[in-house]
Amino acid sequence: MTTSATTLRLVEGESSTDPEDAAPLSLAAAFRAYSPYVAQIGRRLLGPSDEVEDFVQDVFIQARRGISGVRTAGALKGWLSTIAVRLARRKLRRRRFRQMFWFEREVDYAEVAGSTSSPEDAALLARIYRILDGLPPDQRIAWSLRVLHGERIDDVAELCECSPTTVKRRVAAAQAAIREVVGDE
Amino acid sequence: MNELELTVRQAEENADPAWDGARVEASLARLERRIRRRVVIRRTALISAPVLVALGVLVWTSIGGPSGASQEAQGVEGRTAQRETQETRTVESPRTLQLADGSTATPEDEESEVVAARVTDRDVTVRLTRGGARFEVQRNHDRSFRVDAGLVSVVVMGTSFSVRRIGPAVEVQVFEGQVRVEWEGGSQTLWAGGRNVYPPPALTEATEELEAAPEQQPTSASTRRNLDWRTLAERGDYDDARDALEGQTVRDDMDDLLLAADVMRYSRQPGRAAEYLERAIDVDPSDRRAPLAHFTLGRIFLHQLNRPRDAARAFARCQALAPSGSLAEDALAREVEAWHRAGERRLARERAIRYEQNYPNGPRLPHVRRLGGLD
Repeated sequence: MTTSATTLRLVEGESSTDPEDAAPLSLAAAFRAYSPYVAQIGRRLLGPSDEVEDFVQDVFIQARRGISGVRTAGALKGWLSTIAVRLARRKLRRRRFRQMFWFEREVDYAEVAGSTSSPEDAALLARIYRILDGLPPDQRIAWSLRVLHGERIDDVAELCECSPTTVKRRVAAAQAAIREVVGDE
Repeated sequence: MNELELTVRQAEENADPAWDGARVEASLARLERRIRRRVVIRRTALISAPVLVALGVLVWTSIGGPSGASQEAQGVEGRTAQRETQETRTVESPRTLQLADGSTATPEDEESEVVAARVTDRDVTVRLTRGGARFEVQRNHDRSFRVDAGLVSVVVMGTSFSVRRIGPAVEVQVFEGQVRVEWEGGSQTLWAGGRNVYPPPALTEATEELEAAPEQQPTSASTRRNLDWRTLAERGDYDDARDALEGQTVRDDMDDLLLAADVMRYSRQPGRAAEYLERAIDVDPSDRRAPLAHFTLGRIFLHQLNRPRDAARAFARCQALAPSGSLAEDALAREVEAWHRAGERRLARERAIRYEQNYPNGPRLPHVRRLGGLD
């Protein structure tokens, strides 16, 4: 990613004694630094689809007013993640509602898997995402953050704004649903 | 995390399309435009609201009904009314799907598309969503390989064939081995050299016979020995067909010789397979299946008998017989590989240049360039 050195220092700087660390961050700088990360979260929570780009922009639109008040890179990343999870939950709930009542067309995940996928990976991911589409959004988000995004239970709890025990319960429920379909293949 | 989850996570990491610098900048530009539009809408609403309210009151009082409108600012989740067009992507050459066992599915052009719908240890299903594709399937008795193309499915076991969608119909052409073509109400086995369009306009007698025939039951060893080698081969019992061929002479008939070659290939007798193919070519050099025979011979020489020079010549003859045929591109690519393996760098380079000129978007171009020393 072609990010200027100045932007990197502003956004990625870890030293709290660095005076530039306290400088207000611009939306453009934050977007350049963290949009790929937010896109990754979006893809893993919503599934690979053409919604992801709009999702990324929605996250930054919601975050823009508060960005100037964020002082460190770590805080910004965490804050963007929380906004992303909240937005994803809202989108997933809306999607399930539309699918239940308006018969929204299902996404053909086999056609939207990344171009770098092997056929085996593409087919497996397509199955997993179809199963995830049938889960309650909270279970899907907890499992996706834990498994696809590799977050620790405590971090998932923070992002989902619930207790670690609740996260474990949701992840276990999602795992059971996946195992039931995929079985021992 | 269990093993499945580890596999899924790895698959997701492999599949995740990276947001490179260009994409970030393009998305940022769209974001800034969206934000500017939202600001304009809000300011417009702020300025025009009193005017609109007044207008509304006026209309209300004049016609006695609700009227007027006020613009609403879009919510956070609202999409822009006019979606920006995506940046133009460079048209990519057809992408080949390659499975771990070496089976491949190559779209025939940029408009064609083939996707993997299901891949397990027991079965593979590939979907041809549009256009046509060439399939090379590794033989595996424990796993079925299926191509779904709309109304028609092609079930295969160790073959090379192509499938092309033509409107609601599907054209299937088999280069090696056999496939079973299925459609609602019918099915048919198609052999090497065969080419047909499905579903057929009316059930043929052959299809009716196939449908009426009782399902074949496993036969005892003594029964198998008494069966003709052709029958055994058509059933896919290649080892038994090979045994049945012992001491027998295959007549100088193109069909029989090609079938005998298949028997030997699939029962791991490449030398004898090559002999039958050479005989087939001698019997009728102008037969429409001669390019296929040369192509198959080239593959046997190259991959099983370690005779790359003979392989290169066989691939060259395949191209000479059918320069515009469906095997020509593949044959030229393999000829490059054969000359490369034979240590003939000049010839490999010349053929690679020819490939690049004739097939600038060919699916094997990167491979050909590397073997031909063009990189």
